[in-house]
Amino acid sequence: MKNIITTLIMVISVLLSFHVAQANIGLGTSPSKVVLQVQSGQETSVEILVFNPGDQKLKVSFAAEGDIAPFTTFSEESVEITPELQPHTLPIKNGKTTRVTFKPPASPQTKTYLGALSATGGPTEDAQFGGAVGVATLVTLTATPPPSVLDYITAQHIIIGATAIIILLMFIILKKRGLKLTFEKEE
Amino acid sequence: MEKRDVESHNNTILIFALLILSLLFLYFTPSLLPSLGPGAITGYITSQVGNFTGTVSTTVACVWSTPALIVSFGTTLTPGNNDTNATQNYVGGVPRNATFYNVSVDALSNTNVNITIRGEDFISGANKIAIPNVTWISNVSLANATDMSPTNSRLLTGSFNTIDPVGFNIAQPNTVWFRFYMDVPSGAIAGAYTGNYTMQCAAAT
Repeated sequence: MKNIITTLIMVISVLLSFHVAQANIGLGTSPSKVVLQVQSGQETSVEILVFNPGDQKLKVSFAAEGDIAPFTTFSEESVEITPELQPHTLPIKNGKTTRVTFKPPASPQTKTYLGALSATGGPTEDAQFGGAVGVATLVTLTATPPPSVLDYITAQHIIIGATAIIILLMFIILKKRGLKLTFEKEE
Repeated sequence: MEKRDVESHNNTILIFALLILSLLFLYFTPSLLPSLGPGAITGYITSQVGNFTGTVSTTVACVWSTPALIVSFGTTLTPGNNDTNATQNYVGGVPRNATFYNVSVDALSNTNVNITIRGEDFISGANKIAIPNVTWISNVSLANATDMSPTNSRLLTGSFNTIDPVGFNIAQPNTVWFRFYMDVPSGAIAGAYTGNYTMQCAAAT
């Protein structure tokens, strides 16, 4: 009898341990990584989806980290996200979308910026050492220099221009030889 | 040749030149004259019978244990004492040697993740205990791993420690366990201190 009680106590202790250790505060983001290219001085934007794989509502705030921080803005500072339904399956049902805009400074050189868009929930205010949970979308942004006029000229433009110049030269030579161009209405 | 004939001849040349220019323009502008221009004649008949579409969606998602957000080092910290356990470091299982602090990569994550950590100083009014007085150690296999000891622990820093992550390239549904320890500086002023830390999951590159 004593052994049974001891065993029961141990089983209950183990079960309670698992219950207390059950994870229930979560955060997710999609996409996990973005690679962008934009002309420096111009804007580009992406949408990121944040969702809650835990089982409690979570208030999430956004921030940009790394090289992209000085020129990145979010459409919302924070959102409150309700948990995803169990069992967890894609697509995300209860996530919130926020638009992130990047405007890298104008530069004559191509520059690659690395950073992360972080979504952070918490911390618990009354904790001695409160933990905050976070997820991040990694960002690689390449800012290209503004194009010059020469970038728009193609081989076709050169061929047409050269033909026009030849025709013009032809008329100049004809004119120097005393020839005259006229448009006359036939009588 | 009479003057009138010369002028008529020149007009013919002018019209001919304008015609050549117009043809060149049309030839190099396929949208205006699609049946001409470079590559317009292939010798094949083509027809479109269907489109392929697909959207790639990448996600990272992590779930933390509740105790991981409410970490305490107790109310009887003594200045000069090192490696004080966080209260949930050794509480789980039988014998009670497992940590309750853990983070799991959720089933919604279709990307392996790196898990990093950073912290902010403990503050009590005007007094401060710097965050590197807290150390952490993790294990990707066991909640009661013996190597999660103060000897092996890392300093908690003010920025995300990407060189020494809590978990590296972790796939779902794996769990990473961790413990916290605290050194109380010998000159620490009495008071109730609060600090915080942030653990972040990001795609493993």
